[in-house]
Amino acid sequence: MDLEKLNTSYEIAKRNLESKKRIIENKEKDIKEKIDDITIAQGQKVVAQRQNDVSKLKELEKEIELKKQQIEKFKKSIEEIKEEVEMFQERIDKVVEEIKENPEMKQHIEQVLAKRYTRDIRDINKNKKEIERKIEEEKKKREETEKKIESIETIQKMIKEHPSMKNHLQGMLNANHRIKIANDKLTKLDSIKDKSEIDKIKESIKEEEKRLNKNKDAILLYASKKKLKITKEILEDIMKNSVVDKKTNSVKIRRYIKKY
Amino acid sequence: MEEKLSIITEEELKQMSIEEIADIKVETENMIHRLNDIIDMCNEALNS
Repeated sequence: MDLEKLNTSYEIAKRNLESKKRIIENKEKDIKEKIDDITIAQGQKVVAQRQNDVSKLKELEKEIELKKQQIEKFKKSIEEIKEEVEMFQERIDKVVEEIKENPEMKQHIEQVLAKRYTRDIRDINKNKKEIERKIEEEKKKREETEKKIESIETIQKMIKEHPSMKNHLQGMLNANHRIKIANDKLTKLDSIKDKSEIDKIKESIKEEEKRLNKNKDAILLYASKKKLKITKEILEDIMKNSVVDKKTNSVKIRRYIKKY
Repeated sequence: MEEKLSIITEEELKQMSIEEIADIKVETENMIHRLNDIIDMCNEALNS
C-alpha cells in the first residue's frame, strides 16, 4: 500500500468528505423516516377526528410533536455540518482566487472546473433518464396488470353466466396440461428404443392440440361476438400459469383467478 | 473517528494540483446543495 499517497492532503480531504457524506446519508435516512411517521400519524389524525376519538387525537398530536422535536435535532446537526463544510469551502475559494491571479493558471483552473461541472451535469442527466425509464417501465407493468385483471374479471363473469364457456375453458386448460405431461414424457424416452411409444405420444399430442384449439377458438369467437376483452394472449397466460390439482390431475381455473 | 475538514489547512490546499483543488471544490459545493435540500425538507416537515 502506498502510504505516502494515502496521506497526501488531497487523500485526507477526500476521506473526510466521504465520511461526511456517509454521516449526511444516515441523517437524511433518519429524517425521512420521521417525516413518514408524521405523514402516517397525520392520516390517522384525520380518521380520529372523523370518529370524534378525542383521546386518540391527543395521543397522535403528542406523537407528531415528538417526531417534530426529533427532526429539529437532526436539522440542527445538519446545520452544524453545513457550517463546517461552508468554512472549508471558503478556504478552498480563497485558494482558487489566489490561483486565478496568475492568468495562465486562471485559464487552466477554469477549464478544469468547467469540465468537472459538465461531467456532473451529464451524470445528473444520466440518472434522470434512468429514473424516467424505470418510471415508464413501472407504468407499463401496472397497465399490463390492470388489463390482465380486467380480462380475468371478464372471464370470471363469463364462466359464471355461461356454463358452456366454463366447459370450453376447462377443456382448453386440461388439453394444455395433458400436452405438457406428454412432452415431459417424450424427453425421457429413447428415440430408437422407444420409437413406437414416441409415435403414440406424438399422435396424442396432436389430438390434444386439436382439442385445445377448438376450445380456445370457441372462447375467442364468443368474446369477439359479445365484444368482451378476452384476448389470445390472456388465454395463453392462463395456460402458462394455470394451477393443477395434483389429486385429480386437472387444472383449477378459480385458483388461477385468485392469484390476481 | 470522524475528522474535521478544518484539519486541511490553506497551505495544504495550495500544495494540491489544480485538478485536485477543482475536484474538492465541486464536491464541497455539491455537499452544500445537498445539505440545503435536507434543511428545506426539515423545514417543510416542521411547518406541516
